[in-house]
Amino acid sequence: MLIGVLTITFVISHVIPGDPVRLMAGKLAGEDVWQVLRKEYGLDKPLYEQYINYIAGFFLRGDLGRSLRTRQPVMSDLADYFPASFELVTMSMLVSVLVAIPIGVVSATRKDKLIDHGSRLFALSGVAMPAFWLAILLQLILGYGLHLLPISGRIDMALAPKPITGSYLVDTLLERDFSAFWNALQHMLMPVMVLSFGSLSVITRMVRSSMLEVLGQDYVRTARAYGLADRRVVYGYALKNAMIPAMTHIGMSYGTLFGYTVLVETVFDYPGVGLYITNAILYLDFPAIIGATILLSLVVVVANLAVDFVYCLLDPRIRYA
Amino acid sequence: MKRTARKLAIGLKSSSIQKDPRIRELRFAMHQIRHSPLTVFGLILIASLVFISIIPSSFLPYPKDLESVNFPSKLQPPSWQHLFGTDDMGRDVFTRVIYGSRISLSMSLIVVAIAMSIGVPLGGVAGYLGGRVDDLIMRLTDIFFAIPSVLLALAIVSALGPSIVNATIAIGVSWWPFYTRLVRGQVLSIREETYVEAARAIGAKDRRIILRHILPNCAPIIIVQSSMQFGYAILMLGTLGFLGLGARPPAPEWGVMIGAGRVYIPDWWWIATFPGLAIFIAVLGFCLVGDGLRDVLDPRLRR
Repeated sequence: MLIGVLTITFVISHVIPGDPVRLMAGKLAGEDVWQVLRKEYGLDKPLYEQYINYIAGFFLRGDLGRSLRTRQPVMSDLADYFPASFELVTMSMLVSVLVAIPIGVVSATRKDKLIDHGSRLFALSGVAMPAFWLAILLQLILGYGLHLLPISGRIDMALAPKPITGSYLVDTLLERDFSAFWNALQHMLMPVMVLSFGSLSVITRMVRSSMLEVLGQDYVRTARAYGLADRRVVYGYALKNAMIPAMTHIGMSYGTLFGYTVLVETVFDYPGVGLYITNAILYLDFPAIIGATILLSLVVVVANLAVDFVYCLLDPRIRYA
Repeated sequence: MKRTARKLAIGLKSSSIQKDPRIRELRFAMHQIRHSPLTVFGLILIASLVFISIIPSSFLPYPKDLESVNFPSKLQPPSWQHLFGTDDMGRDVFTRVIYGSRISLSMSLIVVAIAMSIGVPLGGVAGYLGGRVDDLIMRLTDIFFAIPSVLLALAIVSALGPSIVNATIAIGVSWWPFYTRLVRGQVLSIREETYVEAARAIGAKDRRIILRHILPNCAPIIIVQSSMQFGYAILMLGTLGFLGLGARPPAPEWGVMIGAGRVYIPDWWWIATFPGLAIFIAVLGFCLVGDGLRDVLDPRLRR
């Protein structure tokens, strides 16, 4: 799987018509500078050798090449930026799951009622809303208009905690610096709103449709026939079973959200992998773009594994199989 | 005598139309669509979008603003002269937003066409042949699924060089796996149907079975997917334009306009706001219709 991802990204990065090295060297640099740089980045070797080096470098040394822009190894750049995105995306996922499940359940139990149509419109608006536009609107309204939330950044510079885990929320709590914690949380709020609004819809729709299926099952009818309270039937019995198909989509959305950080972090100037990618694009910094893509693909794979694991917790049939 | 025979024939014909399951199905579908207010709303949105995209540019209020700049009237707020205000180069935002629908719609059509023409045949082959071919194709789609599609499109387009054509190709190329997975699943279940077995029993060739029996039955699910994809394509093109990887200024593409107008927030908010609204409405239309069609066309959700 990983070799596949590496191969695809390698193919993409080596069919570039432009020459990033020439771009880096600048227009005034002579042929000799260009040659030296090419040698430094190993671009003078035949393609198959570059490919083997690339794959071997990744698996043996965790090496993703060196960024043309920061001139640092891509891996260490990513290590700096990743925790911020991870924190952001995880918070967003949490928010969207917590909001999506009740909405999905309610629209399933009141199918085709006004509230069902309303939640459908809300959910689809989340899909249709361009993330970067929503981000700008929020900045306009909550930031510039009402002065409720900070417009960009991750925390006020003076309050930045010493890096322990890299997550500001965790780090500030560890240092018991609550005003910094509050500050970081405020900075995170708008990006989280934008990111979670997008993934909300998919999860809501999934919960709704699998909930509808489960509510038609015999055991739900049995539970109802026993006279159990509606609440108990819906949340106690049906929801647990309906969550299983929904979990797949939660796992998939997690990866998609990482993709969207490119937009959201750019608008909010939030120093995560997304912003790193945007800057890399501006400089045609290929090793960085590719490295970040690989890292985020890895996150997708891990997220899917985690989902499989949660399946086992939720569904004993899978556990024993 | 002759006349009664003909009457009888006509009578037979019309009653056979009534009983033709396809017609009945279609009428049932129409009935369901009419009773879903949101789907109708989505259809209206799409229809008006198509309508404004075919308005000749000479009918727009300021056709000149599509090509040239007009500095004396720059940064004017929305008014009756300029419904959506004017941008930093004095161009009428309303005119440019309306004209932008052409770019978005036509390019999205190409995106869907590219993704479909790669994805559907691969899915069909994988599902019908099975075995090692199936393994190979599905492994490939798994790999594509592992890379977040936004990033894949970004990487491809930055390799090809930023332009609207390259953006279109990049999105199309990174989206085909959606069709492959969908069509394969559908083909797998249709392959086991009795009518396919019957066709095979009377000696129909593979080609005929695929084209006449299997593909038509995949059509509903492909249509639903395409309606959604169409909306996402508009969104994605805007996204790439916003990041400076799609259409290039001064093209009146919605994403590009937002990217350019973002600098003028908050004082000149209208420059970025209205093109974004256009993307939102367009994508919402396609999503509503796609979602509505899924309920209609997917018999499993009908209960």
